[in-house]
Amino acid sequence: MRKLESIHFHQFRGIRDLHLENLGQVNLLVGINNSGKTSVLEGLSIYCHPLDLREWLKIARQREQENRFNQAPILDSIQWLFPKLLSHEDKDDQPETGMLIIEGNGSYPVKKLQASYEVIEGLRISERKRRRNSVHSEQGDVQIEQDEDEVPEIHKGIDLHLEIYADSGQLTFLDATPTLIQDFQLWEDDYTGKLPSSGHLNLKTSIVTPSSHRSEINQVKLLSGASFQNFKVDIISLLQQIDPGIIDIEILLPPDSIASRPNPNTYIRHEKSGLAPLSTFGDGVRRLLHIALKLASVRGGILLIDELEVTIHTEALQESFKWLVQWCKQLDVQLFATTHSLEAVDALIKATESESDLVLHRLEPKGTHTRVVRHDWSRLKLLREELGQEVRW
Amino acid sequence: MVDRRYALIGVEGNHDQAFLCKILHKCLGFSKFDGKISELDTFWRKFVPIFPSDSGRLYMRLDTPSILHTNEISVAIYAGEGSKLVTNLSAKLSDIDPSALLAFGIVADADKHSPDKVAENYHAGFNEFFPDFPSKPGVLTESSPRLGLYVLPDNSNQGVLDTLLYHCGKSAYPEFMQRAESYIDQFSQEEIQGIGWKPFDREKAIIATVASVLKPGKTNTVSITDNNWVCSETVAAIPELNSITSFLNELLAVKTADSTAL
Repeated sequence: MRKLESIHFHQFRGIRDLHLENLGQVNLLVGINNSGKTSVLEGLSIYCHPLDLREWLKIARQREQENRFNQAPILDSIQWLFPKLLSHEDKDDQPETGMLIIEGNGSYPVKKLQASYEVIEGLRISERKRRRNSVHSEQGDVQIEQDEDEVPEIHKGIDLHLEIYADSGQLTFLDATPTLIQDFQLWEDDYTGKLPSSGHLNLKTSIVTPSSHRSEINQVKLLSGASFQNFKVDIISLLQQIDPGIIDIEILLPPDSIASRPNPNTYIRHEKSGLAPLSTFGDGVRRLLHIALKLASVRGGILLIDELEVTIHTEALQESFKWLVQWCKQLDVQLFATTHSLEAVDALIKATESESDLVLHRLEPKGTHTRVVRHDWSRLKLLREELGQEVRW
Repeated sequence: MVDRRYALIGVEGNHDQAFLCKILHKCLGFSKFDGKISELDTFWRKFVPIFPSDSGRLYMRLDTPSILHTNEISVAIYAGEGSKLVTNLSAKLSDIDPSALLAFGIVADADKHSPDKVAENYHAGFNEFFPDFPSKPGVLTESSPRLGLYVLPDNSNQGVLDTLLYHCGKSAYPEFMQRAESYIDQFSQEEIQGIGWKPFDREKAIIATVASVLKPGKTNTVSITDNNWVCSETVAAIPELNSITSFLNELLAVKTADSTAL
């Protein structure tokens, strides 16, 4: 049994009543713009981290990562994970509320995540001021200013109520009562680091966005992990699909690194240019390396790739995807990827070889739900290779 | 403007496709789509194949359906590759919303099996999309979409399209048909065995002979389209032709001045 055999988004962000059935090892999501492809990836990530609100926030802000200095406030980000109900605008006298429900099946024990929030207001001393005052006190600053700052003010917050239904031990979830209920209070001035972040019931997931290969946070850590798993040789063979001159990947300290604050970086040894920082290579190499390292980091879990084909030249798609599929199987990773590219669809058909390897799900938003057209590998192969049919819309 | 409804009819080959087009155009008042992609109804966009496909067969015939329409209905007649009709049409159906169709029908022939057996096969083949698809020949299910199956030549006897066209030819071109039969009958049993005729190939040879006289150098499909194998006179004179015309009329729920005469 796969980690996820099916997933049903009752309501999450802008999607309603969306079923993905008979999931495969590789699940390709296609559909027109705004059909909910990226939301599905985000929903999967939330579902697999039901008690990890830091992960929720990270996912909620995923689309803003290019714009780190202008991120939405924490509460807004979290609230946007919930469907927006137009009726809120008509009811000034009632507190704003929201609910998201995601239900799934598979070997992952969580079967249903139901979260609801209600907007609240409360008198409290700003968390930021409290922190600042604490620093001031340590430095012996003037007491009067500190007292004024400690006057409580009205703050906006949310009561977040989580219900998790899961298989536990020998018991199987029967949709009766939640296995776990947790309540959190989040405030508008909370620090990200203060958010509850339990790893209980987590399934390893990682998202690759169209641009995440450019922000190399944790790249070195990921690479160390990959090397540890004797994975590096295969990553190099993958990168050689893009640039046959690549010989090795190394983690090194830059020449100007300060001994007291070492800042190791990723370098590529190339037969023409010698040893050069990864950042000097093209997007194709950087993204494939990024995907490979993320894949290695979620062994036994789920890898989520938004816009699978981005930065990879069409000639390199098939071999790159072969590599990806092979390692997904080897590392027992279930892959969910979005694409707008017919070339990527065709390359994946050639890179896979059985019904369960590849499933294409096309999302078609309707009035009250999202219709999903599902094609398994053999039907997809017939449609594309024999009948030459367009399958993206 | 009235919202147009859509109907899909599957057939086993090009001759059947041309035959149904002729009935819809000549007897039921449908206009032919002129083949310009800019004027293609968007509903049928998924039925436009991309060439070359990835099959590696550059000479493979493209399976673009024939499309006809009235103000209210647009009909696509899809010709599968004979025995691959169920497989190919199922793949097509899986990629659209079958419930959006006004009607779905199959017009097959009974060259190898009895019409009942043919009907059972198609019933099983389309069960995934239409559990109510008829299991008997000549039956129309008034569900949504409307579902129908017609097995040529007449839902009860074994035969092919040419079995029916033979009757049409006898009515429309009696002299030509008689001469063609005389010509074909000159071939001895030994010669026919040597060539390797299959059942119903005699009718096919006679029809092809007359078609070749009516449209020298052209195919049967051109003759079916341009000549009078199917016309108001043959519909009135040949019960089998009248029967399939009525079937299509009911399947598509057509209400035209011409159709009321059926």
